[in-house]
This record gives sequence, C-alpha cells and structure tokens, in this order.
Amino acid sequence: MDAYNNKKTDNEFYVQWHFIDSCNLRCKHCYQNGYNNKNIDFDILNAIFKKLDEAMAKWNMKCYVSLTGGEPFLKPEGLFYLIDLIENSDNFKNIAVLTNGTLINDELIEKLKTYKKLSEIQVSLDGHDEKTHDAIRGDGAFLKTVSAVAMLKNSGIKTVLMFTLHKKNAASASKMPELAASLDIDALTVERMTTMNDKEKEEFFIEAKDLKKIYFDVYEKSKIEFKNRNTKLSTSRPLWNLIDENAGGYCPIGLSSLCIMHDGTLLPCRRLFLPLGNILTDGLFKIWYNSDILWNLRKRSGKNECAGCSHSDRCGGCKAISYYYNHDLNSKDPQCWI
Amino acid sequence: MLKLSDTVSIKQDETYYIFFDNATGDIYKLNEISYKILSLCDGRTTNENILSTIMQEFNVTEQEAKKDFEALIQKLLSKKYIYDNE
Ligand code: SF4
Ligand code: SF4
Repeated sequence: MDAYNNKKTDNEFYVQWHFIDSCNLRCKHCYQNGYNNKNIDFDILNAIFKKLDEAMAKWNMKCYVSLTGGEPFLKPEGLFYLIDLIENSDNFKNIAVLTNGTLINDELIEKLKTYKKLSEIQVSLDGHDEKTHDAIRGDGAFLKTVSAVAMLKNSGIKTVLMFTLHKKNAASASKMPELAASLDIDALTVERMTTMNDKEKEEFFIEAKDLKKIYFDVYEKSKIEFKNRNTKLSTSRPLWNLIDENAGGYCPIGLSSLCIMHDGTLLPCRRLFLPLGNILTDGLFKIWYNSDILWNLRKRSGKNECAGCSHSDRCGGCKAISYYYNHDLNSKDPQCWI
Repeated sequence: MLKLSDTVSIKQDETYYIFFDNATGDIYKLNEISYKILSLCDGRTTNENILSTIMQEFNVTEQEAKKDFEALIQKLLSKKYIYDNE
C-alpha cells in the first residue's frame, strides 16, 4: 500500500462558488429556482472555505475560484469576507467575480483593486443592444451593465464579457465582438445555455447546424474586430475545436473542478444539477473520492461517438448539455455538428 | 470478522486500485491482491474465507496468501482503517 498522489504541484483546481442565491434580476434563462434574500451566514462561508483550503493543501493544488451568486454584489460583505480569506491562503491562486454588473459602483471598484489575487471580473451581457439584453435581463439592465464595464475597464481591472447563447439572442452573437471591441474589454466568452427540460429546449435550444454558423461568424468577426487590440475571444470550451483545431477544451468536471452552492451542496457544474452531497456535512474528500456521479464522469473509455473522434482530447462535448438532452452524461454533445 | 472503518473506502477505476481515507484525504495505491482482501473486509467474511478466496483467485499458496494478508491487515489495524467486529 503506497502513499499515492497523482496531482502535480502546478495543477489548478477550479471552483465556482455561488455563495448566495439572492439576485436583483430575474433573467429568462437563469439556472436558479429560488432567490431567497437571506443574510450572509459567515460561519457557513468560513466552514466551506476551510474544507476547500484543506483539500487544496492535501492535493498540492492551487485553487482558482469564481465567486458568484445570485448576484455577488448584492451582499458585498459576504463577497469581501471570502476574498479576504482567499487572498490570505497559499492554497488559492486567483479569484474571479461573476456578476450581472448592475450594482457595481466606484466604492466597490476601489476595494476590489486592493486585492492581488483578483484576476478578473466577468460581466454577463446577453445582447449587443439594449433591446436584446433587456428582453432577457429586464428593463434598464443593459445601460447599467455597459456603464459598469466601462468603470471597471477605466480602473484597470481585467474585465471579461460572458454572453450566454440561446435561440432568443442568437442574432446578437456575431455582433458581440464589435461591442466587446468598442468597450475595450479583455476577453469575450460566447457560451451555450444548457436547456434543462423540454420547455426550455423548445424555447432556447439552438440546433447543431445553426450553432455551427453562429460559432463560425463569431470567430470570423472576432478576428476582424480584435485585430491589433488586446481583446481575445475565449475558445477554451467544447466545440470551439471544430472552428479552430487549436481551440476547445475537455470538460473539467469530475477531474479538476466543482461547483459549490450557498448551502454547501456540491454539484459537478452549475449547469448540471446533480447534487453530489454537502461539503459541510459529508466533507469534500468523501464526496470527491466516492461519488458515483463523479466516477461516471471520469470515464474516458466509453463507447460513444466522441471516443472515436479525433477531437476528443480537446472536446468530449459539454456533459451538462448531453445529460439534459440525451439523459446520458457521456453521450455525444447534441449541438456537435460533425 | 474484519471490517473497513466508516471513514475509509476503496475503489477500482479504469487504471488503479485505490484506498481513500475520507477523513484526512490521504490516498494510497493498492495492488490487486490487497484490493481483493479489503473488498472482503465487509464484517461478514471470515479470515479463513478471505484467505481461501485469495489462494483460488490468484493461484498462490496458503503461505503466500497469509503473508500478504497479515502484512496488510497489521498495517491497517494500526492505522485504525479496519477493525475486528467480533
Ligand atoms: S464527436 Fe464528441 S468529441 Fe468530437 S467534436 Fe463532437 S462532441 Fe466533440
Ligand atoms: S458540463 Fe458543460 S458547462 Fe459544465 S464545465 Fe463541462 S463543458 Fe462546461
């Protein structure tokens, strides 16, 4: 029986931590069901942080954590409490904050700037114009968000845009690079919405052949708009490899990433609502080592179409989208066009 | 009869046989015989039955099986990873 650790010291572990479930918006495509506007329980945040910190130390890994909600700036006291804890631990490498951008102000920005580990603020923008974005996120959201992006950029904080792509904003996708360039943001991510049931599928799902055209257009437009600029198109997610063979990335769930909900429930990914257990009561080690769902996700020798695909090392499809569409985590991504 | 403690578990994945300490996070790699022995530490199988299963499945003599079995069990008992439920 040999002590065994296959994790290398330079390895990164990604955690998306939804530390509150309250939000000031009610977006049409949101993955969340409840929006309880509860006060922050600092003991819970601290207990979850300690479990994560302990696991990173044991595995010799450095954690990249994205803090979000709900809307994280709705409870800045909770957000900064966590950022302080993370900033002071050697087991954490970077912090990102994922926000809808509508509550950001100068005071918050000044405070954010004091943290060395804050690597970026990711702002959600679901349309290239007011009409498209506000139809999804509510009246007045577009202008507030765009103004927050400008404030963040002026402050020197790395600012990236997240465009959640679905049927209702598909026409906006190829116009996002132009907006991103005009805002001088650091990176644009165009990521597909996960439709979780038949109703959502009907309303939001984009067929593979249409997605191919959208991705192609976004990629080509980005090449033009981002030429001689510092703005990048993020293409590290599954299926971008079909547009550029050097792009794409294998889904990290079950291998080097986790999602933590406000009450300590662990999910493989926020878009894959398969509770694995609770970090507070079960502990992270027990869940990570024993969850059948995670072991199923770790399988690389499945007999699906991806196994024989030359792209499988940098793709494998989005497990969440495959699960909700095909009821099988390891099936071929239903939006794959090859 | 020997039983794995509630805070540990074992797993066979696509490549390895692995032993987990779910309390401390420690991980150990097992060989196939050790994995089989531990999977039989279920609180219902006698030591004699564990030994005879090992002899049959791995085609080893009683002496060899006993040597592997005792070395592993002593180590795990000392770490309180297994206990005798009798
Ligand atoms: S077949 Fe699978 S691995 Fe290949 S491109 Fe499609 S989703 Fe990706
Ligand atoms: S399941 Fe999909 S959304 Fe979640 S990490 Fe994997 S590729 Fe990304």
